[in-house]
Amino acid sequence: MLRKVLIANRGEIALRVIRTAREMGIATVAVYSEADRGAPHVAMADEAVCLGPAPSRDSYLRGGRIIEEALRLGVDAIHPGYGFLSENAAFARHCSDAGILFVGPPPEVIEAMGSKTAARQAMIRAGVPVVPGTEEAIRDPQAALETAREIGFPVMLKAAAGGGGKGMRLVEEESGFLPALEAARREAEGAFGDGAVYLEKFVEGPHHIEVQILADAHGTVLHLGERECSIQRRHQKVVEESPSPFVTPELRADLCATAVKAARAVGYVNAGTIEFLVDCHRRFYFLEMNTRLQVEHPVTEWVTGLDLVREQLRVAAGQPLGLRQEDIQSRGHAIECRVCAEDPRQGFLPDTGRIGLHLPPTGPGVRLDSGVEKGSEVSVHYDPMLAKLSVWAQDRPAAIARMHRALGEYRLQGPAHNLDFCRWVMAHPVYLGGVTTTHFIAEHWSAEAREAEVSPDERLAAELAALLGRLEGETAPQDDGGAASGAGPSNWRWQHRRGA
Amino acid sequence: MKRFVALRPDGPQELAWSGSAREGRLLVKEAELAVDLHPLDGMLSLKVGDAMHRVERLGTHRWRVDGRELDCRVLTELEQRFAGFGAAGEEDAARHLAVPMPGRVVKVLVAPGDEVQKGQGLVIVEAMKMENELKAPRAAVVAAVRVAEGQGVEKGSILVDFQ
Repeated sequence: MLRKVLIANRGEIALRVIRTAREMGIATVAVYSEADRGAPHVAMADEAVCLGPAPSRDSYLRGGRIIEEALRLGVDAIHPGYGFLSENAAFARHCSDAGILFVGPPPEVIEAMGSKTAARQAMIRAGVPVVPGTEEAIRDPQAALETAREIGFPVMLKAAAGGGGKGMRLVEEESGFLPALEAARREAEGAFGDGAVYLEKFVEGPHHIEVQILADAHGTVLHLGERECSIQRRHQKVVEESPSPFVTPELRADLCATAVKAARAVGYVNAGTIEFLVDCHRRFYFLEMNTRLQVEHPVTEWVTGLDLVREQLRVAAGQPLGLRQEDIQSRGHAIECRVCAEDPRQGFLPDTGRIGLHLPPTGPGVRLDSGVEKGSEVSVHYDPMLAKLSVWAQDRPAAIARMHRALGEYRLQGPAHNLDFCRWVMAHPVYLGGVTTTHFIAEHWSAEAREAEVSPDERLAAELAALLGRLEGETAPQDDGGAASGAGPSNWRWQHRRGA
Repeated sequence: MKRFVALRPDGPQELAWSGSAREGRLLVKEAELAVDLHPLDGMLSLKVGDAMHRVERLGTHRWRVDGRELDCRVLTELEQRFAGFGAAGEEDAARHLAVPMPGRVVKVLVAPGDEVQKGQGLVIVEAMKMENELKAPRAAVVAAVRVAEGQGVEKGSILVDFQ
């Protein structure tokens, strides 16, 4: 078994891996940038190594440096988390060349699945349905426009090397095509160093549904059921759940069998996810394969009772899974909300600043995977996701009620955040009805409408607090004249986000 | 008795308070309510009559009551009298396009003299690895563009001036 693992990541996922490693008696090494010196994942590890300045390319993306440090510290395995180097085939190859286990699939599989066009071709060969579109990445804008006309608008533009919604654009009609193409290519170039894009037909009433796969090096490939991830803004997931309320038992059997077939076809090993688009008629198409642990893995852990990081580490060490498909049962219902430093009132734009207060909810069936604490600085250098709040209950209505309760309990002050937005989702009739497409937020969210729903009692309570805060200010010996004074003498200090 | 004015979406509402900063009675419209306040960690536990509310302050005028966010402003009587001279902030917002988060200018889509429509994209700023198209808050004519492509910008920086 492994003795020491290095986690080539930061934030909540680094903590997530450290927790399981510690439970398994495996020592942990954290890496960090200069900006993350005081970060929780560093404090939690057994050993820690500074990689360099704050920008990712000078720290968390320095694969060579990470491997050098791993060798120096006698590390057996490197867990890449998600993002950063997790889907970098060259890094995985360098690990194995250095005699270090990479916790993920073989480099060839990362390479094949990392290019969307290559992945698509592999899936067509394996008999997995794909969305109609271009086979080859497109570099010539006029040729791209011709192809878009052939497929028929609306079309989606996607970065060939992409992920996480970067370099992705929906084009409704011909006139918007060339500007969107230019933007997608620029974004892809900036994010991945490769501006190649491909395009595909836009799927009607699409659900984003994915299947979790676990495979070992001994030929066992299992599925852990599906996750519904249709609630997205900016093409990025914000609420996920398992099982999907849209998936029928027949569709589930079909999706999961297809996912296992796809994983087998590419020689998959370790934890991975096959993402599908499912249209309003429950026809499904392969979207992409993520050759790593997903952000939303906790919902699968809730319903299956498995620890995916534990399975990942065991598989990386060469052990067999020790599970059969029939051993895996999904029980109850789990939901996750990604708590992000972003402002739902300003188009979900990311926000930055210091976390003034962080008191997460507790109680039955609540789990928090957080990368921040009170005092943490949310900077422009990294992802704005602060924490993942997930809940489990015996059925979907109970899980929704529990999430609604937990979100209300969560106290988080500092940058703008999406807790109120997530509560809005949990109370929305369309979400409760269980038929949520990837257009849910675009079709239903309105910050103005949300503001107008405030009840008279809630408004009066805020007014009273504001009024009493002013009285408190008046009696303060060092009154700076404002209701917004955060430096009053009282034992309740207000936190601020913006100036007056 | 201290008098305040709450600025509600449907118009100003007078609130009269008698008591300390922790305990007292609120007179609103015809009702009189007993109020009791207890500060907890970063939050207030507020008793209004028999009803309990958990109140957090998120920003100068941004509040969260029982998990629910809302804007709320309460002025003293004096401030209310001067309020007529205000509204400068809103006018500013319409005269400039400012960047709501720190980032880097990827592309400037307009030039001085351009007529732009409300909602038209003006500048693309990359923040947290995402491109964000900042749009015109109203129909206007561009007076000046204050940034260049590739330039880093701080939160609140003005990118474009309108005439």
